[in-house]
Amino acid sequence: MKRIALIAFAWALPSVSLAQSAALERSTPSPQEMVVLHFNGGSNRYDDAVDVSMAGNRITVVYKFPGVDFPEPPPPPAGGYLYQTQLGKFPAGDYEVAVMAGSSLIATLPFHVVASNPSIQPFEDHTDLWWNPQESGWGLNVVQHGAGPIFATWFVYGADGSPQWYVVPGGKWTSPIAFTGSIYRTTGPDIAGAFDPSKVTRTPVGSAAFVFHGGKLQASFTVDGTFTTRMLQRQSF
Amino acid sequence: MVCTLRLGIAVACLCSCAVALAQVGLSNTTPVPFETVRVRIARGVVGNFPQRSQYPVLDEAATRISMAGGKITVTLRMLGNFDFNEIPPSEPVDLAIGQFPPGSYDVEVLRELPDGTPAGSIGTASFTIGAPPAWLAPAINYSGIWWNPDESGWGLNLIQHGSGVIFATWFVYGADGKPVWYVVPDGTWSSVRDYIGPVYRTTGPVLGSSFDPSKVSVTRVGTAHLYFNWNGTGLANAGVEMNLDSGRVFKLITPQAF
Repeated sequence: MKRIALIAFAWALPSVSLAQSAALERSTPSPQEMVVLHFNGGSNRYDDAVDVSMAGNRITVVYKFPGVDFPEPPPPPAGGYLYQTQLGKFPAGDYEVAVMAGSSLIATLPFHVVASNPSIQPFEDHTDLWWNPQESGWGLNVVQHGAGPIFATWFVYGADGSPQWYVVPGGKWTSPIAFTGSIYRTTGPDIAGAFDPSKVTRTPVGSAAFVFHGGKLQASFTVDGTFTTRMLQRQSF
Repeated sequence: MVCTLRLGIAVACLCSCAVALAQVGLSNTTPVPFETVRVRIARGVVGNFPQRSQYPVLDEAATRISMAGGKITVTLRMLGNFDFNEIPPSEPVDLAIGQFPPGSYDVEVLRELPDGTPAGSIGTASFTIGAPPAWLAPAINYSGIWWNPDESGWGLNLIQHGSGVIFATWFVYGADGKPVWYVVPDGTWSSVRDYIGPVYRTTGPVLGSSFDPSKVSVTRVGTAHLYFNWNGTGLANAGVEMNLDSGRVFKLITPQAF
């Protein structure tokens, strides 16, 4: 049975002539941006587990053929099998990516990580869950897009003790370590039903100021005229 | 007596070398792929925060990190008085240098004066990132704010740590229209595309000048199931299923682009 499957697999390959190709999402990422490889395996299906390694400034990505013990290979998608692989976030420098399909070299792709502009851009990616270990029960989610703005969600409690969240959907860097933005309180329809976004209300209620230094975050909030500030750290797992 | 004195000097030299070597390390000595690697610069090497101009202090804006030939170089620019002997005791500083695939890496931390003049090496460190852990987890980091563009107003924040554990916060609204959040603080990968964890709802005191964590109540209200690469439609598509005591909610989500 397995032999038949192998023959069927080998027979199926030449009948489809989709080419394999590879490209990087960005050829000049910033140090804070994830470098992502897009690989089109053509008519070849590969394992979900991809081998990625680095030596010197050369990254090697190996897509491996899956076992062939399935009864019959599924037909390839019209555009070929597509794979996205995260490679990492790298310091400023020149790099190249060797893309391998099994033992065959498919492409060698160079990329250049450009140093951030230190006068206007953050020093690092501050994306994380930030908290105060002495005050377990509330937190601040920070999602930073590359060297760009922050989207923060602050989850705390209202005067009646019920959970309350605020959002800082954007803002600006005033220095490489300082970010400010407006805080909004929102209301909306019950998530349990059909969600109508037109029924969401967004009310600006104040401002947030974040200062990152030495792995700590000084987070300050002014909501409805009340000022609160805390020194936070990343929650590690 | 002479031998004792020489021994004392030798010990002093050893201690001095040990201190010098220990000035640069890593916040996590065994990072895994896609975990942020941070070089740790020891207490007292850079100044206090907030900046005190009479002492040397790290100028993060002018600090540079680069990589060539597999070696990572961190060049710290100092501000203020550059008599490094006058640096007061200060907390260690962790600087993120990147997220790397499996391999072996060397790091050297240099220091320079306010005008850019090199001021020597502070120390070196090295680290090795092994193959992805044997436990079942994806070689993908899904951290970010996920949403459904057709339902702007609610979101699911995912923070995926080096251990593979996801901390999820779900920002939605209750039957009364008021904002409510749920948290999925941990869970397990049942496959490289499926993550399952308990959902909790919490109540607690207002965050004022103080916050008493003993007054936080935590109630499990259901189970969350995250389906990444939903139906094989790509990494930017996922499904979130919340099986709550109050009912089941299922949504398709995608990372929010800025």
